[in-house]
Amino acid sequence: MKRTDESPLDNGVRGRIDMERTTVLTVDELSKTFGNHEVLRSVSLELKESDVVCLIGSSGSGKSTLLRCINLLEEPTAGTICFRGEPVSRSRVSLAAYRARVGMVFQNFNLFDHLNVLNNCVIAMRKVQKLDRKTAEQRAGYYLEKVGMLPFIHAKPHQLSGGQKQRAAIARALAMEPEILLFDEPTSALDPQMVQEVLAVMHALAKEGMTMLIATHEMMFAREVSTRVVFLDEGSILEEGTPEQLFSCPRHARTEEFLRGLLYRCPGEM
Amino acid sequence: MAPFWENIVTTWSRYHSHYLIGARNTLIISFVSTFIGCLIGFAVGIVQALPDSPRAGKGRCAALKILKIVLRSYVELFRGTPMIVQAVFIYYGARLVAGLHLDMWTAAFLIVSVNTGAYMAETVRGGILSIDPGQEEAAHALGMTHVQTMLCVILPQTFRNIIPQIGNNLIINIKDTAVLSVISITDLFFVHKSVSGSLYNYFESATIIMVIYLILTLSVSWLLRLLEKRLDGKQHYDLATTDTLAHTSGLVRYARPSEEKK
Ligand SMILES: Nc1ncnc2c1ncn2[C@@H]1O[C@H](COP(=O)(O)OP(=O)(O)OP(=O)(O)O)[C@@H](O)[C@H]1O
Ligand SMILES: [Mg+2]
Repeated sequence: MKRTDESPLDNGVRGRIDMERTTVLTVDELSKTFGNHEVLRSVSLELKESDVVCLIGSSGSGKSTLLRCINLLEEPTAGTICFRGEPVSRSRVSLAAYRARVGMVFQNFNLFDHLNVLNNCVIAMRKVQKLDRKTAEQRAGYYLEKVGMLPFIHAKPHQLSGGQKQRAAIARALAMEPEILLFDEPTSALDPQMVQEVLAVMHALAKEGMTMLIATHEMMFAREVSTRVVFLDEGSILEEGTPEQLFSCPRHARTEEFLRGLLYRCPGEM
Repeated sequence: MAPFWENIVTTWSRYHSHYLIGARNTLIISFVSTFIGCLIGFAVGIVQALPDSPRAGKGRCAALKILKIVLRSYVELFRGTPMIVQAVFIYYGARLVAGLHLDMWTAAFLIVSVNTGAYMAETVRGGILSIDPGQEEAAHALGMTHVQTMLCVILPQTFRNIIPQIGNNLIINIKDTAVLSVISITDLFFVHKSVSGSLYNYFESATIIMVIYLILTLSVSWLLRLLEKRLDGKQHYDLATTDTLAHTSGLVRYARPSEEKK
């Protein structure tokens, strides 16, 4: 489980060494229905080490549901999820261990309101990974510094701006040293200025070779950072490919329509 | 007006030790019973707030349902009947029906705790439900178990949010222990009844215990406010500077943890 790279790899290099990289996460034929509402239909997805995959799609297409199914916050109706080649079991012990290795960042930050920034990061390391306080604090400090939140360790969540909260939440996820990070629209609840500070952090993580699966509406970001873009439409993967492929010459009419819709909303971005 | 003040002064100087013992007993019963009542309330409230998760087996699901019905009945029974009747019912009933001689102190603690527990159960359940479920999800996503999530994330916030209600219960208990005089507990009200019964100075004695009750309840209010402030911590935070960090925990002198491992 050692990190494959310390230095940023450009997309070309990533492509060439594709064979050598191990698979982190495999989603196979995943389906999810709520009542009679089929939200995900046979979604299959594979993430290799240091892949950055962006999930795009209109509202209600099932991006959040897919991410929530992956770390079993939502129980899939059918299909399997394999982590490092092992099917993820739902028994209580292995579930906790699995979730500790899969980080998640939420749209609404979901920081623990009664704890300061440092303790937000420390608590899971102490309870789940059973680290002693000193080690946990040092590790938290390392990651908080990385996201630029070290000066704010004594602040409670309600004393922070949205961007600061989200950076703290990212540090909290990173501090568990997960092997993959899931982001569910991490910038959707933020003002434009704060969006940039959070995206900058994610950009840096991508460069370091963090494996990430990101649901986002930030097309510029998806285009710059991702190794692959997946277009989700009404619960199934309609199209996936490199950002150049997907954004410049989408194969499906629906994808084009979706991207064109965004173009009208934010001219000059595409 | 003069005889009124004189009477108060003489009553107080002759019986102040009785009044003080009464006040002490009132305080002991209400504090201890509120504390035990809170424990009961947390236990019952936590169970009531458990989701009927389909993931657990059928047997466990059914057991949980039955337990919830039992607890629900407990809450409704004790909220729905007057404490003074419960006191008589339990104290004399235990003797008649079960041949059990409860000593009156045990009976007093039992009755007030169980009553407080019934009210607190609903308060705690509401408190748990009011915490944003996102935090629970975040805790689960970090790998924390349900119990860890409850203990470290949900309950501390619930506790903070229901302190005003705990205060309410404590104050109500201070006043309502008066009804325990029906089972001869020497609380403040019982002392008043005995003193005024022998001196025929109902008004003066009532004035004295009114003042004492007010002093007790006001102090409790003030103490709880203090506790709330304490739990909330500082209104502002200090930016951590490089010196303070290096000084306290060595946070900044840390190398990349993954390099250190193994
Ligand atoms: N708990 C639930 N019960 C019933 N239906 C649900 C539930 N959660 C999600 N859905 C439905 O699933 C569909 C997909 O929702 P999801 O949140 O995954 O969309 P999304 O792609 O993340 O959208 P957005 O971009 O707005 O976040 C929606 O139609 C929603 O109504
Ligand atoms: Mg969503």
